Formats: sequence, structure tokens, C-alpha cells
Amino acid sequence: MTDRQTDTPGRSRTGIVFFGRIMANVSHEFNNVITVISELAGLLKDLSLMAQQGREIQPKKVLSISENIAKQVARGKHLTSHMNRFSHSADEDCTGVDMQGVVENMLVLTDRLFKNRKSSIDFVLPEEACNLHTDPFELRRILFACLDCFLDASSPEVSVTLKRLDEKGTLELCITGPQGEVSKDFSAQIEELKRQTADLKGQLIFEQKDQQLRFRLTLPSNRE
Amino acid sequence: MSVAKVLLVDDEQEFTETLSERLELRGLEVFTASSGSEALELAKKHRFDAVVLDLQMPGMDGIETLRLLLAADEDQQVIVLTGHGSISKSVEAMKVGAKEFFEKPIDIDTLSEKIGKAATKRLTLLQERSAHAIEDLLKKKGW
Repeated sequence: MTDRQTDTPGRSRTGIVFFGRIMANVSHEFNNVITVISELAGLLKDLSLMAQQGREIQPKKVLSISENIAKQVARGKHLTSHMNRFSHSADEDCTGVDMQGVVENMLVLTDRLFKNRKSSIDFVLPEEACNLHTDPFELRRILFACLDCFLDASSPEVSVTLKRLDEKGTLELCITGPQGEVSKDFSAQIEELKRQTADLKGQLIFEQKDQQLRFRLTLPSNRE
Repeated sequence: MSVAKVLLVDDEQEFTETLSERLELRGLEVFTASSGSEALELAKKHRFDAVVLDLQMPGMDGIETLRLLLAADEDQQVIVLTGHGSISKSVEAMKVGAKEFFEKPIDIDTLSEKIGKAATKRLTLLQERSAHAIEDLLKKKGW
């Protein structure tokens, strides 16, 4: 395990900003879960008070509230387990990671962020395992940064495809979508992403053709 | 006095369904919208005594919805009820014209009380406007 204190201040800051964005989003989701449970508990209290005053309460109604609470608890548990997985991704600088798991992890944690932008992301993941030996936190950060940057320049409907490129296990993640309004600092953002991808010994290629945008992110099976 | 009519605007359907049930048990007439654009459509068709509005919603966000609701009806009483209200967001919402700003979850008695006050305030504003309109008419006609 490599000590992360060797990071440059700039890189650490970028990592903290990313971590903060994800945590802010997940805590918002958690608050929604808590709020719904709070309202359901309140409704049970209302019904109990009405029952004390002699009003008949349907068992079906109580059962439905109980089922809804259980549903919210499951939603909260799902979020916690993904948040935990995400937090531990910063433990090691380089380790074996399952790419499908990383993509799923980021999808769960960023769902609201992208929905708030009215984005719809269609993911195509291969059935075969796609394992990498790389920095799991940086991998997540670059994945998120690529999607974030891409959505800034494309229309909201994008598709993401992951596939194995060769026998050596090189992976390619393709983000494609119709071109939208491109901001003036888009090129600078891409150059920065290319530099960051190179830190993972990967490559980012940007293509623009017939009003279509494409990011091709290739990652070696072993960063070292 | 007629029943106060409230619009709940939030993309968390489970939340709006449960909260509306609780408010209805307290005698209010409740409508729900899961987006800003749906809220604006409903506000065109109904006169709400109060609107309870979330800030973070897919598509049109709460601040923009608030702006458009007030542009359509400057007397609209809007209570912002959001997940994590940063100070800057609450200041922005109040500047745009929200009457109250709360973080979720909120105590139902507090919310009911605020809705009641908002409904009274709206009624007073409408009555004042009617009185001014009648005064203007009397002056114009020279009666």
C-alpha cells in the first residue's frame, strides 16, 4: 500500500473536491430516505391517534406503511454499502478492481447528480469480468470527470459502452452522444482529462464527427 | 372559511404521497407535482393558498420554479422545503420571494401552521387588492 501523502497538493485537492461532490450527493439521497421514513412514521402516529378516538384503521393500510418503510430501509442500505465501497476505494493506490463493479458503484452514487441535469445514460457492460490493476479512487474520479465533462458538451442522452480490447486485458470505455452546446473551456478540460488519464497509464481520445461526440478511454490491465 | 388548497412539489413521489395524506387528515386539500413544469401547469389551473417546494429536482430546479410561480402570481405564498439547504441557497430563495425556508424532515405541526399562515396572508393580500381595485373603479367613474 502506497502512502497517499505523496500526492501533489493539486492532485489531492482535485480528489477532495470529487469526494466532496459525491458525498454531498449521497447525503442528499440519505436525507430523502430519512424524510420518507419520518413521514411514514408520522402517518402511523396519526392513524394510532385516530384509532384511540375510535376511528377504524384498516390493517391493509398499516401493512402498506410497514412495507414502504422496509422499502426505504433497503434503499438506505443499498446507498450505505455503495458509499462504504466508494470510501474504501481511497485506501490503496494500486489494487485489483472489477470495472463493472466500479461503474455500478459510480452509477448508484451519481444517479441524482445526472438526473438533475435531465441526463439519461445508457450503459452497456460486457458479461465477462473486466479486471484491472490500478488506482481504484483515481479510476472512479476519472470516470466521473469524463462523464461530467462529456455531458457539458453533449445533449443529455448519452451511451456508455465498456469492452475488452485485447488479450492483454486492455479495456475501452466509450462515451457517445449527440453534440450539444460546447463551452469555451471544453478543450482545456479535455487536455486536463488526458493528462489525468495518462497518470493511470491510460489514454483518452476525443472524437467529433457528424454532430456526434465520442470519448474513448482506454486503460491497461495493469497500471504498473 | 373554505379549505386551504396546497401544492406539494417534490420529485420524491413516496414523500409527496405520504405528506399529502397527512395534510389531508388535517383538513387541507392537497395537490402534488413531481417537477417544476408540472407545478407550473397545475398553478395555471388552480389557485393555491400555499406551495411547498423542493429545490433539487430533475430538469427545472426549485429556484427557477419559484421564479416562474411568482412571475405568474406575485401573491403566491411559497414555502421552500429542501434536503440540505445551504445558507447561499436559502438566501437566494428568500431573495427570489420564498416566504419560508425549511430543511427536511419537517415537523408536521410546524408545516401545517406555516401553511395556515401562508393561506391567511394570501387571503389578506387578495382582499387588499380587491379593495384597491374597487377604490380605483369608484375614482375613475367619479362615484
